[in-house]
Amino acid sequence: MYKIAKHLAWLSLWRRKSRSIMVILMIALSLSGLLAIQGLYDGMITHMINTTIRSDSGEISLYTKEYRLHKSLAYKLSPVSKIEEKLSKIKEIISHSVRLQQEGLIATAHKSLGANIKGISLEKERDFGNFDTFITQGDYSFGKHKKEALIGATLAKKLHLDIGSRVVFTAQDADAEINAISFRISGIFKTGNPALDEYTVFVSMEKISTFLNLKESATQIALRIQNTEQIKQVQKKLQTMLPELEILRWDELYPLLIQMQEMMQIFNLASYMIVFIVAALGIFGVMLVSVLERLREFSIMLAIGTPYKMVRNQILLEATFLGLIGFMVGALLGWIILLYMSTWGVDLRSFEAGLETFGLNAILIADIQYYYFVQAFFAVFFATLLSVIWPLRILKKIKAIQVIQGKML
Amino acid sequence: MRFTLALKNILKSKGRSLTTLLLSLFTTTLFIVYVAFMDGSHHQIIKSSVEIYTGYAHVNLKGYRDESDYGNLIEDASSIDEILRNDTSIKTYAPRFETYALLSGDEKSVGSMIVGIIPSKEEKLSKLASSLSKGEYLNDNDTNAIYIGIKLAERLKITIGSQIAMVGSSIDYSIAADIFTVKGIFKTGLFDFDAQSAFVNKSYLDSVILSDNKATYFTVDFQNNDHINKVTSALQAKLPSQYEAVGWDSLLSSLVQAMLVDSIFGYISISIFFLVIFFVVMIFSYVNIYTRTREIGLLRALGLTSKDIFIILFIEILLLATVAVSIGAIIGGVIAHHYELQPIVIDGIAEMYKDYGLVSDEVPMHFDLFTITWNALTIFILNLLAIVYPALKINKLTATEAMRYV
Amino acid sequence: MKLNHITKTFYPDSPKEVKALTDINLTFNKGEFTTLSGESGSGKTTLLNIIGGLDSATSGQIFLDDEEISAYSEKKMAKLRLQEIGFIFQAYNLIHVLTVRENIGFIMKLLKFEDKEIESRILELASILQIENILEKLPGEISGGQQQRVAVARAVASRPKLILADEPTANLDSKNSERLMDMLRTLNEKEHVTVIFASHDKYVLEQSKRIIVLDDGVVIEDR
Repeated sequence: MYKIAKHLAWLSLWRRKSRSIMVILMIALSLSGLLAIQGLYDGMITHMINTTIRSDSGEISLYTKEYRLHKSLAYKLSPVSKIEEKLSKIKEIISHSVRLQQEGLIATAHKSLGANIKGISLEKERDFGNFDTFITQGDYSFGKHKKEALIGATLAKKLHLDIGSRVVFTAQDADAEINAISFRISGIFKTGNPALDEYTVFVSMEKISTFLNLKESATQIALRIQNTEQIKQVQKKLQTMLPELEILRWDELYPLLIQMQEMMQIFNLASYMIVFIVAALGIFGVMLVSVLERLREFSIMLAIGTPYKMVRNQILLEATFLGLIGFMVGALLGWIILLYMSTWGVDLRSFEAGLETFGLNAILIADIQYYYFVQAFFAVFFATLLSVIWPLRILKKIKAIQVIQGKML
Repeated sequence: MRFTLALKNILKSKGRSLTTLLLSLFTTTLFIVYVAFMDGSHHQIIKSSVEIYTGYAHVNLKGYRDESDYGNLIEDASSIDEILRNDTSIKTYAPRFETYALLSGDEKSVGSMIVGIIPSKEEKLSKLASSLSKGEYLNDNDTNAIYIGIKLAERLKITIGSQIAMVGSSIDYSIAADIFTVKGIFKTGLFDFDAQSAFVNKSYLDSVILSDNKATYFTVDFQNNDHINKVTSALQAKLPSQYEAVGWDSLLSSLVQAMLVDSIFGYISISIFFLVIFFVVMIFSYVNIYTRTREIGLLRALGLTSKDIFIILFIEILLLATVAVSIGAIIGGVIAHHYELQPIVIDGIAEMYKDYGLVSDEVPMHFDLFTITWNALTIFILNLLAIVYPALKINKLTATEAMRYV
Repeated sequence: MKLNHITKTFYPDSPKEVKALTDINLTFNKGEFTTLSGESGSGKTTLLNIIGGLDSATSGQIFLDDEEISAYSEKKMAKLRLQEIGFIFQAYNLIHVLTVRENIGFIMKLLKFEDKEIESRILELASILQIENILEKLPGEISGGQQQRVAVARAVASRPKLILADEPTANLDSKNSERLMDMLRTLNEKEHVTVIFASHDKYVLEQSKRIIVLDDGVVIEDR
C-alpha cells in the first residue's frame, strides 16, 4: 500500500512540473544561501579564535594572580624553569611558549607611539602556533646576533617602518629605571589579533631579559593542548599543581570571541526559522491547491474503498519528496559553495581596512561542518510537515459523496 | 475594464491576496526596521568617534595624513587661525598638537598620546569636558596639569593629584621631559581612547616641546555638518595650497569601511530572506493564476489578447504590492522614527563591542526617508518580478487549451 | 441484500428539511441486473449511495448476507467497499496520473493480489472491453467512452459481489452507451455479478431485468 502511495505521489509531483520545480528551487536556493552564510560566518569566527590561540593565548595561559590587572613586572612568573618542569609532567601539553612583556613607547626619528615589547623564542613560537606563517614581510628571524625585532603590521604602517628600519623602545625596567633600547626591524607580522598587530614588537627573550634586568622571568606562559576535550581537565590539574597562579582558558581570556560565536549561532538559528517558516508557506500554497484541485479524484479513490491512510500518505509523500529533493539540491549546492569558499576563500581585499578593524583577514575562509547539513535537514523537514497540516485537514473533512455529486466544498 | 477585472480577481481570491499582502507588508517592515537598526548602530559608532574627539573635519598640512610626524606640522598656526576665524560656515575650531610620549607613574610606564589643547575651545568642540569622571577639566591658565583617560589612569595606577613623568621628544627631536599633576580623569566609553590619551593646556605643552605657534592640525565644527564633502571643499578653496581640509569620512576611513563591511554582511544575510519571499509570492501568484486557467481561457476566447491578460495580472500584483509596501513602509518608518528618538537599550552591548567603538547601551535606529524609500522599492520590484514567470507561462497556453484545463 | 425501512432526510430539523427517501424496503438477490429509475430528484442516486455505503441512512437497516452493514464504522465500510463493491460514476472516474493499465489494476493492488494475477486479469478485461491498445495511455489522452470502459474494468477487476453504477451512460453517445451496457451484461452473465444502476436512460432501462421506479423518495413501481 505504501508503495502505491509512493508511486502516486511521485507521479503527481511531476504532473505539475513548474510548480514542483518552483518549490524545489525555493528550498534549494534559500538552503544553499543559508549554508553558505553559516559556513562563512563560522569560518570568520573560527579563524579569529584560531589565530588568537596560535598567536597569543594558546588553549591555556598561566599568569600570576595580579598580573592581568596591573600589567606590572612586579607580578612576574619566576623562576620559569621550575614551572616548566612541572608542565613537562602533563603529557596533554604538546608545547608551550614563555613570554615576557612590558609596555612602553616605540619611537622612530620622527614619531613615537605607545606599544608593548614582548620577548619570545622563535623556535618555541613556531612549535607553538606556526608564528612564522604570520610574517608578511622580511624574515622570521632576530638576526645573527639576536638584535633585531619583529613588528606588528599596523604599528609598522603607523610608524612608516620597513625591513631594516631602526626603532627605539623606551620602558621602565624591573627596578623602575627608564631605559631605552634600539633595534632594526627584521620582519613584519599580521595575525588578525589587534592587540598584537597594532601594539606589539617581538624581540628575543635574551635581549629583553637584559633590557628589563630580569632573569628566568616571564609574564605569561601559554600552553597548547592536544585535544579540545582535555582543556578543562588540564586546567583543573594545573590549578591544583600551581595554586598560586592564574590558569585561564582562551575563552576566559577572550570572552568576546565566545560571545560572538554564540550570537552567530543564535542569528543562524533565527535565520533558519524565519526563512523556513516562510518557505513552509510556499510549500503550503502548492500543496493546498494540489489537494483542492484533486478533491474529486481523492473522493473517487475514497469512494471505491481506498483507505484514507493511503490518500493521506500520498499527500505527505508529495510534500516530503518536494522537501527532500529541495534539500538534496540545496545541500549539494551549498556544499559546493562552501567547498569553494573553504578552499579558495572569499577575496575581500578591497575592504581590507574595514575587515582589519574586526580582526579579520581580507580573504575569508569558510568552515564546513557536518552539523550544518543536519540542521538544514531538520529545518526542511519541519517546514514540509508544517505545510501539509492544513491541506490534510481539508482532505479529512471531505465527504466523498458530496464531491462526486459536484457539491464542491 | 482591465482594471475592474483585476480588482475583482483580488477580491475573489482572498486567501492569495491576503497572503501576498501580509507577506510583502511584513517583509517591507522587517527590511526597513532591520536596515534602520543596522544603520543606526553604525551611525552611533561613527558619531561617537566623530563627536567625542576626532571632530567633523581637520585642517592639516598635505602629507600629514600619510606621515603624521614632526616633518608635517602646521608651522604658522596663527595664519590658519585667521582664515578659519573669518569663515562664516565654521561654527568653532581649535588647534591641537598631538604627540606621543612615555608617561610614568610611581611603578609603571605606558606609551600614550599626549595632546596640547586650548581647554575653553575644546569644551565646545569635543566631549572631553563633559566626559569628566573625577577631578576637574582643564582651564586656559593651567600649566603642568594633565587630564587623562580613565583606563590610562588605571594602567598607570594613578589618581587625582598624582604626579606623572613625561618623556617625549621636542619638535627639534631633542628629549623633552616634564612632570605633570593629574587634574582630572575622563571616561568617554571609547575603549582605546580612554586607555591611550592625555591632555594638557597647549600653551604649556608648547613651552615643553617647543611647539609655539605650531599645530599638528585644526579640528573644525561647521554650522552644518550634513554635507561634509561640500563644506570641506569650500574650505579647501580658502586655504593656502600646501594645506588640506579633510572630512570625518576620510579621517575615520577604516571605521567607515568597517561599518560598510558590516552592512554588506547584513544585506547578504537578509537577501536570503528576500529570495524565499520572492519564491513564495511567485508560487502563490502561479497557483492563483492556474486555478483561474479556465477563466483566463474564456477571456482569451472572448477576444482579449495575451498582452491584455498580462496587463490584468500585472495590475493585480501592482495593486497588492502598492498597498502592502506602502503600509509596510509606514509601519517600518514609524518604528524607525520612534526608536530613533527613544533608542533601544541592549544591556551590555557596549561592553561587548567596546573594541569596535560602541560607547553606549542605547542603540538608536536611523530614520532616513531615502533609505526607507529604496528599501520599500526593493520589495515592490521583487513583487513585480515574481509575477513575470507565472504570467508568461499562462500566456503560452492557447485559449482552447486553457479552457480544457482541469 | 436487504433494505429495511430506509429513510433519508437532508437538513433534519431545519426549515430546509428535505425527505429524500421514505421507508424503502427492498431485497436484491445475487446475480441481479437492476435499475433504479425515476426523475431527477426522485432519490435514486441517494438510494444507490446508501446501498454502497457512501452515504448513511437517517433510519433503517441494510443487511448483506445477514450482516447489518448499516452499523459498520466508516473504516469497516471502506474496507467492505474495497473488497465487495465496484463503483462506476458519471465522469472523471479515473486517477489522472496513472496509466489505463494501472487504473484497472489499482484496486487489485490495494487488495494485494499477486502481480501475475493482476496482469492476466487486466489483459482479460481489456480484451472484453476492447481497450487493449490504450493500456499504456493516461486518462487524459483517451476519449470519454474509453474512460468509462476503463472505469468498468476497474470496478469489476477484483470480482466484487456488487457493482453500483450511477448514470454511467450520461456522458456517452448512444453507440458507446450500447457498448457499455453490453459489456456489463456480459459480465453479469459470465461472472454472476450483481449490478445495480441508477439511471433514467431509456436504453439502460430496456436492458435491465428488474426496474424499480422511485418518485419523491418512495418506491412506486418494482417490476
